[in-house]
Amino acid sequence: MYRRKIFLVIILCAVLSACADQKIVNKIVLVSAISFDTVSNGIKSAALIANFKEQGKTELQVLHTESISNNGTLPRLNTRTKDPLEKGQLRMVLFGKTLAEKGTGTKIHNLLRDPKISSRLQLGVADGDASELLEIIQKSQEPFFLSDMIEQNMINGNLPSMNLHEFLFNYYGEGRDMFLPYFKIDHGEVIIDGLALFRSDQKITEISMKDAFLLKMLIQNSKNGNYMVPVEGKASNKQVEDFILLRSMHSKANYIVNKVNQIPSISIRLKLETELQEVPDWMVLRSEEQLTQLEKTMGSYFKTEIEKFLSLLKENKVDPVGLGDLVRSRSKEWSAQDFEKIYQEIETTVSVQVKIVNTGSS
Amino acid sequence: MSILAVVERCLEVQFSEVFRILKNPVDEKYLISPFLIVPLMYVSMVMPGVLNFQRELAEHAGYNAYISVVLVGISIHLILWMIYKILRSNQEGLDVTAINKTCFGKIAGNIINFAIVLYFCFGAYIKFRAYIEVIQVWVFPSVEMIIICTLLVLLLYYTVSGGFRSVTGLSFFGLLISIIHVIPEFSLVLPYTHPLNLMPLFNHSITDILLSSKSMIYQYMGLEALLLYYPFIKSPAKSQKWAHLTVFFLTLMYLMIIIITFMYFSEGQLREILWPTLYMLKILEGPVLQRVEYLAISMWLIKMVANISLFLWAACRGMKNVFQIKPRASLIAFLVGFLILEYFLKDPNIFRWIEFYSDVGLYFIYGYIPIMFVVTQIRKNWNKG
Repeated sequence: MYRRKIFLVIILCAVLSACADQKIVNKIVLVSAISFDTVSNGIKSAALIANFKEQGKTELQVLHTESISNNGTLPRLNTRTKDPLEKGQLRMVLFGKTLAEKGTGTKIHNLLRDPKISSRLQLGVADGDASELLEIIQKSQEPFFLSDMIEQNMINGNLPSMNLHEFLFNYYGEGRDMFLPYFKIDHGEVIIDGLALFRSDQKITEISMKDAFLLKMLIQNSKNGNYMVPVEGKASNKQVEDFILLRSMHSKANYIVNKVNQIPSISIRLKLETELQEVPDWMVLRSEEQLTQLEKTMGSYFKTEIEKFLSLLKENKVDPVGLGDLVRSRSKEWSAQDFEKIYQEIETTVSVQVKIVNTGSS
Repeated sequence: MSILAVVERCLEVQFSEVFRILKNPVDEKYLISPFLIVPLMYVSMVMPGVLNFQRELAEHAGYNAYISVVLVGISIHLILWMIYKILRSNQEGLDVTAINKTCFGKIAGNIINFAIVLYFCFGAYIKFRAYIEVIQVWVFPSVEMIIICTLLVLLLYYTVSGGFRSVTGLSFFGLLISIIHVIPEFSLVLPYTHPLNLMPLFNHSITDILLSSKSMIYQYMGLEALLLYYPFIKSPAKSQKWAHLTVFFLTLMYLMIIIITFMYFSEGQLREILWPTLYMLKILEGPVLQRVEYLAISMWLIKMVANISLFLWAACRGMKNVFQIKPRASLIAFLVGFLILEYFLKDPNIFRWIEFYSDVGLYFIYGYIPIMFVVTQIRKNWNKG
């Protein structure tokens, strides 16, 4: 009998305690994106918030605040809203260009510490002022525009797979460096213009979407990425250069570390299966021979482009590919400081094997 | 009761006066089947530690620490074999408190027994506190923890007062729940792993690997509860193979978790993260649930209650054997103690306590059990001679 009573007490307690700390969707304000910029006397931050109106309807608003300190953005923004701000749905954190160049360490560390932040959050760097980007997104009335845009481009475009977890993996991991998507404003619209490469927590340089494809090919399967290969031919007398637009069907990078000690040497073997999407009108792709010839030209073109890309990375002392990590995994003793010193001198040889699997219906 | 058993009983009385006092036969209706030792052992060993053992493990041996998991797993098999030897050294059906009394005499034996009771009670409190800590950080940061503690304490009282069989029943569900969600969750994380992290396979010294092993032992602590619930198993000899199977399975599970964790986080990143297992779940996204880790923590409640109540049950059973105190009275005393500690102790640093507990457990498992093993074997041979 008394056991039944205890059970009743437990159930009642459970019911009562559920009243604590409730969060009802139209009594809170969801923050969907935050941006940070530097101003002369501190940090300027803006938040894109979504006021939930009714099923399927939200109203976007951008809030601004300025402070001398790095932290405490949300409490200060809370003084500007009717309902409490919630960051559980935060999907995008944007850094302004100058802030990214100064260093984003504290911000990134706090994102790691917060259990409410999803690992699928996206980060990004804006060319110029990050809060301007939020203003543009506000007009679109889509709270998750930027993060959806990144995800879409990861699956269907040249962006390598990225989310907060992968950024942190690269940021805290030794022998690799972080890279974030780089945004620009073009004709009043936000576009992804490439990738911002970081050394530790500072942005060093940025690369174009074309180079982003090369990076994607070096670190993962570049499926669905697009690339323009220039071709010489009859049309060389024309003003406009001719290009082949190809879409990657599948790619794989093989790394072989030939030598570890003193100056490491690495050979990279890439295999790329492509589909020809757009070709110049004069190009005839009927015979096997012509195709093999084209495969070879594209292979050597990719080889030189990737070599150029790798020397760009070495020049800037950034390592988004994770060559340091690769050498670490093959050597008994390895230290990040020592590798940094020799990073510019390591030898890399590239060979690319292109295979055309589909030429279209012509 | 068969005639043979009666004869055996009569012989015992003749052989030893002590046994008659100590014989504490458990009624048939309280016994459990031998294979039910699987959920009991699983639940007693897997603790909140499984949510964060990776970081400490990697502290010394780095990403070579998977070797430590294998080493500790093997040593635990040995310890388990010793436990069975100890428990079988006299006649069947005695727990460790009775064996202590026969080996060391009544007073010294009871002092050891009381230490064991304290150990189990402390263990229960540590786990209780560690789970509360997880709830506080991840699920309800702003709720007064004393409310959640009270709820948990009531639930614990309800389970433990139901007796050993109800603890076993809850353990069974605890096992079921963790198996249901652990394996699918970890396989979903696989696309985000970097196998390169595990290389080079062996670049740390033996000392580093042994130091890492020390922190791994904490993940197997709880196995010693078998010393107390052994008499509750029907035909205990049959349970040994199930017990070894559980330890083997658990070692495989830890190995899987540790390897996936090492592939998922870079070494520098792992150093920054307090609960790697929960952190890994943050990447998953369900069709209805956007975040899985909250669900995982809530499901863990059943497993945790089973674990804590098994320890509490062991402590109460020990109290009964040592001081002839009714289990219900000591249970209430322990639970009230939990609440008082929770209310007055505002020490947020649970990790220091866990360290202390795991040190004590280390001596219990690798000190006390082998010593008992030697003592009981010598006694057995002596008596034979």
